[in-house]
Amino acid sequence: MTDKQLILVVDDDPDLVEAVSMKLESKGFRIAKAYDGVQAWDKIKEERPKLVILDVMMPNKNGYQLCDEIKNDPDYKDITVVLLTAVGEAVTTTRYMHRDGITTLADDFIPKPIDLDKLMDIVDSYTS
Amino acid sequence: MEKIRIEGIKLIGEFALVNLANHPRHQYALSRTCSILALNRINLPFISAICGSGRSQASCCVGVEEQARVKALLEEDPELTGYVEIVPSVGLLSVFPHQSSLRILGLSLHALGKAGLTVHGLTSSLAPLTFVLDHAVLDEAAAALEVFLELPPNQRPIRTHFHVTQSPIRRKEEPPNNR
Repeated sequence: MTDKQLILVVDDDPDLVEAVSMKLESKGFRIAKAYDGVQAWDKIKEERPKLVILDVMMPNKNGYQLCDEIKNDPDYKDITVVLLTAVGEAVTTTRYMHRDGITTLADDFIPKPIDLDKLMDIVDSYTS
Repeated sequence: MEKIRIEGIKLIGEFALVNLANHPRHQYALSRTCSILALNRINLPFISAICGSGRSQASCCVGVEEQARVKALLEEDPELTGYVEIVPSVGLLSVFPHQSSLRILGLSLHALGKAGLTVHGLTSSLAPLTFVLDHAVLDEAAAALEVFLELPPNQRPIRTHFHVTQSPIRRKEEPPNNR
C-alpha cells in the first residue's frame, strides 16, 4: 500500500477528474484537483504534488504550456508529469515530439479514452 | 444566506439542441438518432433522456454548424420524422461537483428562473449538474448562480472553446482519391 502521496489531477472535464480521483483515492493516494492550467499551476505551488496527471487540451493554459513551466522550473522539475492525450497512439516515447510538432518534457503519457488500470500501473511505477 | 461552496462552473458552446419529444418509443428513437449521427461522424457533446407520467423526451446537442445536416438526416428518417425539434443556439452550463445536493439543484433552478432564463434541459453525471441554456445568456446565467454558489478564491467560470470534429481516417497506404 502506498503512503498518502499527493497526486494532482488536471482536466477541464469534471467527470474525468472525479473518476480518476475516485480510483486513486481507493488506492490510498491523496488528491488535489484543478480544472484548467492556471488553477493547476497555483495548486502545484501551494501543495507540491508528487505527480501531476495533466490533460493536454485545457482552457487558459494548455497541458503542454504547463508541463514546460513545471519542467523548466528548478523548484518543481522533479514532479512527475503524466500527460493525457487523445493522440497518444501517435507517439512512441515519453519525451516525444508530438505529431503537430510540439515537444514536451512529460515523463509519461496515457491516451484518451483512459484505461484506469493502465493509468494506475503508470502511477504506481512513479510512486512506489 | 450562506453560499454553497463548489469547485467550478464551466461554460461550453455553441451547440444546437435536438429534441425528440413524445416519440412513442423514446428509447428506440434516441438510439436510432445516435446511430444516424454516429454513422455520419457527428459528435454528441450532451445527451439526456427523460420519461415518466406518460411523457418522454430525449435530447442531444450537436455542433451548431451541423444543425442543418442533422435536421435533414433525422427528418428524412421515417421513424423520426415529425418528432424532431431543433433549438438553434444553446450552450451548456455545468456546476461541479453537485454533491448529490437537491439544494444546489433547487437553488439553481430558482436563480435561473428568477433571472428569466429559459432552461431547455438539465442532467447530472458523476460530478457536474449541467443545464442547457440559450448560448447568448451563459454569462448572465453564471452570474445568477454565483449569487448563492461560491467558487474557490480568484476563480471565474471556465469557458472552453474547443471544437472537436471527426474526419475520415486516411491510412498511409491509401492514395488521397480513395478517401
